[in-house]
This record gives sequence, structure tokens and C-alpha cells, in this order.
Amino acid sequence: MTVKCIKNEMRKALFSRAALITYLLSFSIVIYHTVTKAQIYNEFYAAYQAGDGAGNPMITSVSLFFNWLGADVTSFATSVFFFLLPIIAVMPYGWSLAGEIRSGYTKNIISRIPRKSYFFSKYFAGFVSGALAVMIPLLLSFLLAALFLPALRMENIYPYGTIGEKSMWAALYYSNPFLYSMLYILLDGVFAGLTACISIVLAFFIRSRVTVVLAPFFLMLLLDYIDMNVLPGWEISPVKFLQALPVVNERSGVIDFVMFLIFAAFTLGVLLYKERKYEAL
Amino acid sequence: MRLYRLIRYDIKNGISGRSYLYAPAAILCSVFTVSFYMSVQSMNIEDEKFTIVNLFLYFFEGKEPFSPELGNAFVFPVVWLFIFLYSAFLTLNYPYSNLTGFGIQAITRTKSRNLWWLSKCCWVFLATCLYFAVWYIVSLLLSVILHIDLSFQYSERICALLLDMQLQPMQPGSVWMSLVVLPVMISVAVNLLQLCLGLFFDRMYCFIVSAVILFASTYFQTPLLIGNFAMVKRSVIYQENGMDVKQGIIASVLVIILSIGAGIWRIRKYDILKKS
Amino acid sequence: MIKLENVSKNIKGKTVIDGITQTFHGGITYGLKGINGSGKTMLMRLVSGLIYPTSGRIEIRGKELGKDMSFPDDLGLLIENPAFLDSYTGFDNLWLLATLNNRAGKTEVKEALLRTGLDPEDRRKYKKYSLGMKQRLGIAAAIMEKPQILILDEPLNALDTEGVALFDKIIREEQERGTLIILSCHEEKKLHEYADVILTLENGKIKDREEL
Repeated sequence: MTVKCIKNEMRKALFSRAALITYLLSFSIVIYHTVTKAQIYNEFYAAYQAGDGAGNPMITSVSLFFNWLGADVTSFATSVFFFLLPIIAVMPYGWSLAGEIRSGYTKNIISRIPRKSYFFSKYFAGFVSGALAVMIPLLLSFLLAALFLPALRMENIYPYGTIGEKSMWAALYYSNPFLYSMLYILLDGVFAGLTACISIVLAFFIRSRVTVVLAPFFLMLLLDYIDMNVLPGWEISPVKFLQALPVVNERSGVIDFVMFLIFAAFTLGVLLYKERKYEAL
Repeated sequence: MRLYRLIRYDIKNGISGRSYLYAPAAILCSVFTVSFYMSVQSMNIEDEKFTIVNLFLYFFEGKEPFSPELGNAFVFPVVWLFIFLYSAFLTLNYPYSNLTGFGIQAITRTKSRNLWWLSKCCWVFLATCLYFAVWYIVSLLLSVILHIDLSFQYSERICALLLDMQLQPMQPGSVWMSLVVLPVMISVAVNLLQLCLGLFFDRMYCFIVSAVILFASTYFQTPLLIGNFAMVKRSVIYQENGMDVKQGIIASVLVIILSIGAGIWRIRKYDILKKS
Repeated sequence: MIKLENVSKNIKGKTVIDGITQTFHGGITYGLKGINGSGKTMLMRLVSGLIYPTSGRIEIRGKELGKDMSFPDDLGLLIENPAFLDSYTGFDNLWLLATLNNRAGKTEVKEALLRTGLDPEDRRKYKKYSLGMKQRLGIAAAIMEKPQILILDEPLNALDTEGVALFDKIIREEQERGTLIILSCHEEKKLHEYADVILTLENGKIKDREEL
């Protein structure tokens, strides 16, 4: 029964109009970014050829691993993608439970299957849809950028694209940047999924679809404010630590893990509590 | 007269009835004010007059012009964005949720779609002004409590050390324009644009458009992105080739007029249907 | 009083009203009959000005809807599920609406509530209302200004026996006032009881017209 419920919810999550529009939005950011990067590379390569190899061209500045959407921390596309990440993650499906509670649809469901099955299916589908909404564009960006940019390993002798040795996965970044990039895409997916789950559980308290979708976005902004003004140096803001290169400070695996625990504990905690207490009034 | 009645209805329904939405604004303002105050205190800057203008400069400093040089990551101005995005959020839901529910009864009684639209434009203007009024009043109150000086003067040293700003000397008029009039006008313009777009698209996408415009304003310095005019660090008081106040007023008035006009054109053919 | 000339309406590529030509005269009660999706509610939305025709024209007392006026003058409307403000009482909800065009004072508002069996002094907020009470409030909102045109979509939904009896009385009183009434109802017996003319809709067209 739960499996069937999950299948239904997954279908709603992945094939909805909202999901389509979300992907269109994120793909346009990806394409804009790839086009600008390809142009920059073409100009660089033309200058590099014309220069006959004189001087140090710092060729790793056009490396794929420094210029895909997840790592290009100087570009507008990357900045706006991670800024909108809480909305991108939530839009396909995060509002779904709020809408169903408001319309009274939940009465139809929980009169037929256990509450636990229904709410956990919502949670699971929300997590997966949020994760995919962020992972797919990032992966697409990586693949598209790989068509145009050389996959050169980064070197810490240059003043760009460097990661401090205490930063999370620093050794991996220099030794196996491909794996590093993939792990970051996975990390981004996990946090995006949890962000969507925040919306799902907020539906128990908030009926407005708009508020439920935007609450995680404002929460992330608040975390960013705390990160910049109250706890500088900690990099607790997901908008920053989900980017594959440092934005302000080096990333700490411990802090990332603690943030993950907090998000997971909050969302699962509310879900476990509410699925027992929920009444369809 | 009918417009006045509609506006009165919108004030009662859309502002008084939703006054709880202004509470987070007051709380945020308090948090930002206290946080900035504590930063100033921790600097141990003696003999420096910490004034309310310093506080407003903190709120509306925005971001200095950004160049994507190698190794220079883009850090967005979270305080500035919070202020303007919450304003956009505040004015997002009411007009269209009202139209498809209780509002059908209201609009058929006033018998004019244009009046409904103009009334909603007025509501957006009033709601935005009230939001900023909450912001300014809370800052004023906290300034009194925290003994922050209430004058048009400001500490250049605090600006330099905490805000990384070296400003031209400002007359009271410049203070009013840059820190009160322009931010409110720009916010009204963005919110009205969002309202107009709501006649074409779902509200969520309209908010995303507002968010992208505001975010892009922090990244790119161009008069085409009107958020630039609401940032002190993009203005002529901060840099020689910065954004002019007069240009800012013209730009915001233009956006306001175009949004209202486009809305009048669109509302005539708009189907008032129950939306899911 | 209301003249539809070859009116059609397309919504997202689907024709919901297809070439309807019909005149609705004042003082007559028109019943709309048809299966779900036949176009009854859409026709009511067109006549009330909530939507405009894709082609054709709607004239009300010589003025074209959508050109000379946005909405009919003097209209009372109950379309689909009534929607009011959760945190207001029934009276406060109606009073808020009444102040918009000043056609009804507090006396008329109270009278409308009493006619539908609701208590004007009831301090309960709308969110505490039962479905039947919400429907009664919707009817009260439609009749309180004593409109010349009354459009009622499924007014008997959720009404108990007493509610239906009160509604019967309301219809009689409105008919005596000479109101043009357009209503839809799934209970055929009731429709025949109220209406002078019954229009049967099918696929957005008027398939049959029956004068009683």
C-alpha cells in the first residue's frame, strides 16, 4: 500500500506542470551559463594561440572543474542558481501537501490508507523531487561544459579556484576533481531534498501555498544573515556551502553534517509527530 | 467615490486583516538593528557618533559594483535583499487570492474592472509604504532605546570600518532621498510590476521574476535593473559614476506607470475563473 | 433585458460555450438544466461579466458587456461555492460587501440574513459555519441589495429541508418583485417548480427550450 502510494506521489511530483516549469527555469540558467563560458573559452583559446605560448597563460582558469555551474562562484548564473535553490527545490512538489490539506483531498486519502503511508510518501516524493530539481541542472551543466572546456586538474599554485587544505574534500578536489564535482552534486541534491521536505512539513501549520513554497527561501536567507553577521567564519549558509568552491570561508564537513542533521531532524521530527496527531477537519 | 470605497475595503481586508504579516518585518528590523549596534559596540570606537543614518546606511548599503575577477566570489547583500524581497512577498498573495474568492462579490458590486485594478495598485502602494514605515519606526524606537543618535549626521569612521564605505558628505536632502524616498519608490515599482505580471502568470513565477530582478541588480550595475537605484553603494554619493537620484525617480515612475497601464489593458480581457 | 448574440467561449482550446443566441427577459425565471460540464456555470459567468465571450456579444439593457460596461448593473450572484472571510461573522462579511456600493444598509443586510434563516446577531466567525450555513450566507449576499438580475448556481447545495423551504419563499418573493432570475439546479422537480422557462444545455449549446 505504501509502495503504491509512493508511486502515485512520485508520478505527481515528477510529471507536474510545476516540475516542468521549474526545470525550464533551471535549464535556462544552465544554458546561459554554458554559452557565456564557451564564449569566454573561445576568446581565451584564440588569445592563447595568438600568443604563441609566451608567458604563463594560467590555462587551468578555463578548466571544466572551475567553470561548471556548481563551482563558478564568480558568475551570475551560479550565484542566482544557488540563491534560488530553495525555490527551485520546492516548486515542483513542496506545496503539494498544503494544497491537498486545503482542498480537503487528504480526507479522501487517509480514509483509505494509513496516515503514516500517506505522509511518508509525501515526504519521500518531496525529497526526491527536490533533489532531482537541483541535481539534474547541475549535472547537465557539468556535461554541457565538458563539451567545450578542457578537463584540467586545478593547481593550488594559482590565485583562483583554490581550496584551503582544511576545507572539506580538499585533497579530492586536486586529486580527483571529477569525483569531487559529483559528490558536490550529490550533496546539493540531499540538501535540496531536505529543503523541499521543510515545505512538506510546514503544510501542517500553514495553508497558503505561496507561503509554504517561500518559507524555506526566507529561512535560507536568514541562515545566510546569521552566517555573515552572527557566526562569521562558520559557513553555515547552505546558499554558500552548497557551491563547490568557497564563497567566503572554507567549508567544514562537520558543519555541513550538523546542518544536515538539523534539517533532517526537524523535518522528520515534525512528520513523525504530526502523522500521529493529524486530523482532517 | 467607488474607488475610495474599494481602497477602504482593501485596506480593511488586505492590511488590517493581514497585519500579522508585518510582525516578521518588525522582528527582522530589530534583529538587524541590534546586530549592527553590537558590531559597532564591539569596535570600541570612542568619540564616534553612531547615528540612525549609519543604521539606515547599513540597511540600504547593498553591494559595491562587482567585477567577476578570478578568485573574487560573489557575495550577495543579504540585508538589502531581505528588505526588498519581504516587501515583494507581502504584496504577493492578497490581490489574486481575493479576486478568486470573496473578491468576486466585491468586484461585481463595484462594476468596474479598471477600478478593481487601480484599487489593487493603490493597495500595493499603501502596503509597501506601511512596510517601510514599520521598518523606519522600529529602527527609530530601537535607536531611542539603544541611545543611537537621531540626527542627519553620521559617523564616517563607522561607515569606513564596518560598511567599507567612503561617502561624499550628505545633505539632509540626500539622506532623505537615498535612504527613504528611493528605497520606497523602487520597492513600490518592483511590487507593482509583480502585481501586473500576476495578470499573466502564476503568483509564484511573478515572485521569482521580482527576486531575479533584485538579485541581478546586486550583481550588475546598470540603470536597466532598477534595484541599483536603491543601493547606497551604487549611488553617486558612493562613487563618481554611480546612479543618479533623479534617474532613479524617473525609472521607478516609469515602471509604475507601465505596470499600471499594462494592467489596465490586461484586466479588460482577464477571465475571472476559480483557480486551483 | 439580457441579450446573447451568437456567443461562444473558448478556454485553453476547449469550446465551453458554442454559439448561444438567447434573450433573457426581466421578470422571468430561467432554469438551466444539463449534465455536469454542459456549460451552465460558464454561461452564468458570461452573463455576470466574470468572463467575456471569445466571439459574439452580450447586451444588457442596450449596453454591451465588456465594452460599455464591465459588469451588469444591479446584479446578485452566487457562483459555485460561496467564499467569504474566515475571521469575520456572517453579518460583518455582508456588511463589508454592502459598503462597496451602498445599495443596502444594515437593515437590508439583517433582513437578508433572516430570510435565509441565519441570525444577524450570531457572533460566530465564518470559519465555524457548517456547509449549509455557508450556502445560506452566499444566498443572502446575492439577495441583500434586492438586485434586478439574480444569478444562482446550484443554490440548493447543502441546504436542509428548512433551508430549501426558505429558499422557495425567497424565489417567490423575488419573482413578485419582477427580478430576472437565472438559476441552475440538479433537482429537476425543483427546477420545474421555480422556472418559467427551462433551457437545456449540452456541449455548450442550448439544446432545448421549454416554457412552463
